[in-house]
Amino acid sequence: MFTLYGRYLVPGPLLENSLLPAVLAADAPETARAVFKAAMSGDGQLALVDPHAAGDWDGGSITVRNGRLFGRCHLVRFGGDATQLVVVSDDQQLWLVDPHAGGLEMIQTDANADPLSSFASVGLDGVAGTPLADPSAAPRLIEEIRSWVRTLVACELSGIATHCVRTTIDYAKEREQFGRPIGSYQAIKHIIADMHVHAASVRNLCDSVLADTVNSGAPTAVDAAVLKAHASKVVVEVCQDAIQVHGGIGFTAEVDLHWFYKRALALRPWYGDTRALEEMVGAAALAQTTEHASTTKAV
Amino acid sequence: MTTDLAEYRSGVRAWLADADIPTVPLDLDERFDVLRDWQRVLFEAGGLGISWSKEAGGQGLSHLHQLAFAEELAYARAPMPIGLIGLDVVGPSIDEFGQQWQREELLPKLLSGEHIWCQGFSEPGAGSDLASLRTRAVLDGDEFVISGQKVWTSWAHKAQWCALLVRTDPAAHKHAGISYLLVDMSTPGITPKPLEQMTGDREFCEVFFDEVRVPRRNLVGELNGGWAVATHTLGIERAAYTLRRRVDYEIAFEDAVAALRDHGLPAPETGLGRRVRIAIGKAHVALKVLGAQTQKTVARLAAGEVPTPEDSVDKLLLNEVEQIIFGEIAELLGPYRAVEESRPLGLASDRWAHDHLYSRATSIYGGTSQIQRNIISERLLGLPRG
Repeated sequence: MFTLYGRYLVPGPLLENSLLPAVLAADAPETARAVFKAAMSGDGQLALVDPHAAGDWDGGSITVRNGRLFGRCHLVRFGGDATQLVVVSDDQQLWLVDPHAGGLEMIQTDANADPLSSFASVGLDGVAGTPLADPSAAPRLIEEIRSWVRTLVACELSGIATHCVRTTIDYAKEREQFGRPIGSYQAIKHIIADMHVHAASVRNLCDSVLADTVNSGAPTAVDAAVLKAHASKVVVEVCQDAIQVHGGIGFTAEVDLHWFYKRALALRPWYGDTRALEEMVGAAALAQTTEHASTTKAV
Repeated sequence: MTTDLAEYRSGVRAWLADADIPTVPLDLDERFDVLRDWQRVLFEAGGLGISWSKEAGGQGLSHLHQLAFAEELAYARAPMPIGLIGLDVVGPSIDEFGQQWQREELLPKLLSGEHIWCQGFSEPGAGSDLASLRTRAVLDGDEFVISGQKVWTSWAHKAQWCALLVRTDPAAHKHAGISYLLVDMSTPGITPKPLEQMTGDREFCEVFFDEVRVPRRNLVGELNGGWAVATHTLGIERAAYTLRRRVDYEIAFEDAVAALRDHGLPAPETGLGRRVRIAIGKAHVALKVLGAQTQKTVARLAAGEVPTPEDSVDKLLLNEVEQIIFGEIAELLGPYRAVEESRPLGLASDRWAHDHLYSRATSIYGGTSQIQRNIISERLLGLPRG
């Protein structure tokens, strides 16, 4: 689904509304379950208040004192539109918070460069929240949410790449210079061939990570980081190549490439950009022994 | 041996656990001898020609069994046998297109390693444009008389036989005038001359043919039908090679990580600590990207969908991944790269510098990356020919 969202640049808090109920509803208290059910059927909108979303940048900090939430999260997607907030505190606990609760300050940003989201900054000064999970289970659920966000963002990026490759092939067949289609020139062909190879590599990696979740239920933290590290790097490059092949028109707002490019640039740093995730993957690889992958097992 | 893939794999693993796995010497001549002995051991254990027909001396199993065997070999840190060109390329061509006597007399010795094969395709003037090759073979009674020069012929100075592409009809369109001949390397008039590579190895050769007489019965396929023979096996070879190399990279990566860990990692907050994490992270991501790609390759191989222009996508990605992995690891050698037998961060400078240099070859041999991009853009994506 998320590759399709990427291909057609579908707007809205789709990730938040489908992912958070899926991961959290089963173990949540009764009142929260009703909220999740409503969000899934489109009645209400969820936002994820997680300072970790900013990756290596300062995303804020949320602490808990006497069961009340304090602090700030600087970047909350669709925060201003949310009917309920899922908050991740620094002590790795999960809370359901009413955006209109006392002590909560929601500052909506006026404009932003991501064509598909709005952002808000959320301040918390002694806000009451409902715990969403058993304290011992919450860290695992938070990791699961973050892994799924990385995976689904990568799928969306994959869809963006697929769209850009398709559009660029069509354009290169049509657009003529020096009396022939520009797609007949090797300089153009080779760029497009690389775009295809890289877009295919992201698709294949998405398929592979998602296939593994059929049994495990969720992508591992490392697999999700690997996938998003690769997708973030490659899809931005594919967008840039698409603009290059389109030439002057590619730099204008006359064609829709700029929307895809801006979306890819906005998704790239979300929950860690390539560099941050590569470092995370490297640290994990150096810390543990890995299982052999068998190519034939997949068949 | 059983045909169930999982059972087959565990059978291979059990056999390898008890096998006397050789250490591979650095010296090229010694390496050749050790790996040739190893080929005989593998042959006697039924580990060669796994996907070949039983008539050809093989095991009559699938390409996936062949792949499972190759993977288990790598995981056991066991080397591949020396006669890979024969096993991967020439043998399957003879099995598919060869005459009865060729199958019966040549294939068993090819499998056992008694005969080592080389492949005379490229020429000084025919690299990327292979079909423009000029080595001539003229029929004289029951014999072809061959004159010309080949290059990049691996192990030609050690081989007993050569699978040779020659021009038999100079008047025909270039692809239509080529034949595929089997040449006994002891025939008078053949001179192999090793070329030193940038790694210091000398497995590539130039081979000179001066009026070499080869019996007509050594023709594989039709006269002037050699291009079809040569390209048929290239697809399978490419897929098998991709799958095997992925395992090689995985082993290399694990060795590098183990060496870094055994040596002790630099303090995490230092610049070097961060560099090590990022380098290993980049290599690991590259490895996973290739792993996901090869799952599709295996599916194509299982469905018999090779060769296809998709193989070129694999090759480009394979090259890129190899260059990332060995590039990242070699960069961790820092200035100690230039110091032989040093172990910066626990990494053996000679091995990683060697493998890094070797990775430059991957985007050149077997069709350069530029040729692959032409194939992808024209045959897969439908862009107009220039």
